Amino acid sequence: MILFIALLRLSFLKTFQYRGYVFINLMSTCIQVFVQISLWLALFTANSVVQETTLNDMINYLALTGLLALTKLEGPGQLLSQRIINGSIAIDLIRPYKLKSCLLSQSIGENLARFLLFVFPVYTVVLAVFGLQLPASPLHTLVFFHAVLNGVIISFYYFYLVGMLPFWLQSTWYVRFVNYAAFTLFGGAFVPIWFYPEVLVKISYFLPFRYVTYEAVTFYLGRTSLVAMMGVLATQLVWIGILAALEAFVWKAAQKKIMIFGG
Amino acid sequence: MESSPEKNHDLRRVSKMGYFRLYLQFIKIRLTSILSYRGSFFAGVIAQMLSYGAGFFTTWLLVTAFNELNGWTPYEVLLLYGMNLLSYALAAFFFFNFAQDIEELVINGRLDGVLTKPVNPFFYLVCNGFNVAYFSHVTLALFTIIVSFKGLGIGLGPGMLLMFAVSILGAALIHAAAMIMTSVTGFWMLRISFADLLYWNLRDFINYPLSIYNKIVQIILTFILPYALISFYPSQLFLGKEDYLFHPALTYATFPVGLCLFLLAYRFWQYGIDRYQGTGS
Repeated sequence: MILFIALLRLSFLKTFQYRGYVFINLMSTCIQVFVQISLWLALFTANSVVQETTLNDMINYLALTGLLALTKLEGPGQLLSQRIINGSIAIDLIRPYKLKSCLLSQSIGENLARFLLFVFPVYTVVLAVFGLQLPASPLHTLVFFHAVLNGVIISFYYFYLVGMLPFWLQSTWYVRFVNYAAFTLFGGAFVPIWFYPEVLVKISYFLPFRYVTYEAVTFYLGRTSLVAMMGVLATQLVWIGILAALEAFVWKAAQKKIMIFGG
Repeated sequence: MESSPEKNHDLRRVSKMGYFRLYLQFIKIRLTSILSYRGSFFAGVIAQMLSYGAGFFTTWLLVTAFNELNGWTPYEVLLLYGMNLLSYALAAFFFFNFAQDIEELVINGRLDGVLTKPVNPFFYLVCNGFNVAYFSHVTLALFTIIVSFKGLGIGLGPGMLLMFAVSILGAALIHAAAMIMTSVTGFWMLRISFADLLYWNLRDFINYPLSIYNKIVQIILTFILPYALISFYPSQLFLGKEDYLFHPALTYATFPVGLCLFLLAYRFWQYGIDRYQGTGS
């Protein structure tokens, strides 16, 4: 445990070191947010309420989705991919530490630093200007954070599974494009799913993507009742179970595969 | 190539025909290398189409839900997307790797090797960086453009079609100029990815009509970083819109501005490489 906290701290501090990186990322977040807000402002000039959504709802949706963007834990999977490709996985397997936990704490530290440096400041300003909506009760807040945490775990397992693809595939640079498409279409990363046609909404229920951040955000905005949210939390747990089992299975298979090649 | 003794005198001067043949050779090598990794090439093509397609599709859905975006209908916004992507892809065919790889070449010292070759280094790097993967972007963009014109019921006559091609060419030159200019920072080892990141985000601006932004952004994107000339202004020529903001003549400005910027960028690159000192590696 102490080891993992030390790793977390180090990767946190490392991210702080790159001033240029921080500056450019801050700029880039600002531009993204500016474009998005201009878009929503323009869309809401003609009508003030569209599909029970107001401008303030949308700005809150945008800000919350932005704030939660880094709870999508892509890091461990990406780091794993790199280690498989450059071969250092062979050493990782014989060293006396849990690789998964190491990669996990490393990316949590990095995401935490990125959140504090260039996500939190930008969206705080946005919400200060447009007004933050508050959850209905302390219980709602608690449920919201529970849903967020479940989302973190789902995303971790999902990306970790995907991160194991290099064991079998020659090149995987394109996989992140598929992930991007999946989260855009079925995860509400850009346009809320409630604006979608019926068919797409139905499909989204059978995929894990909407359970990462979208469900938590819609609940926060009061679009899901507390009772319905219990169903969502249960579904999240089912996804965690499925993905964790898959991960364990694939990891086993991968270890066999790697031994065939002689490591 | 067959060369007379006089030509061999100055190896740096490869004839225009020679350059063309050399270029074809480079492309041939690239295509051969793709054929040996067919699976991952096609997987990549599909993945990139999906990712851009998802962006197009959600934007289209959104504008449809609201009926219009500042007087622009869903198909009109889609056309902006399509023109932006098509011109970007045409530029990226030649200049994406060129811009992306330069820092690496500087750091590991391979750029010094390029400078000793008997061809124009700019030309050599462009050829060597030819990126066939943009085939997927071009296909998707053309598809999007056709869908938007069909959806709007607009048929372009031969004159307009020519004008469209010229505008796209001009827009591609603007994209190319931006890629070349950001690559120059690689000579100074300023971490090209930074410049790149900014460049990518700037592209986001022009997926929507320029008129949704405030005046300062409109001025910047029209006169200082003329990204709005890529899709916003020229598209109005074909859509019959009059959302000109500054001056109607801007709808025709894409090609001349693109050409000037490209030449300027080329000059800037030459300036950069003339002052390049090497890293001693």
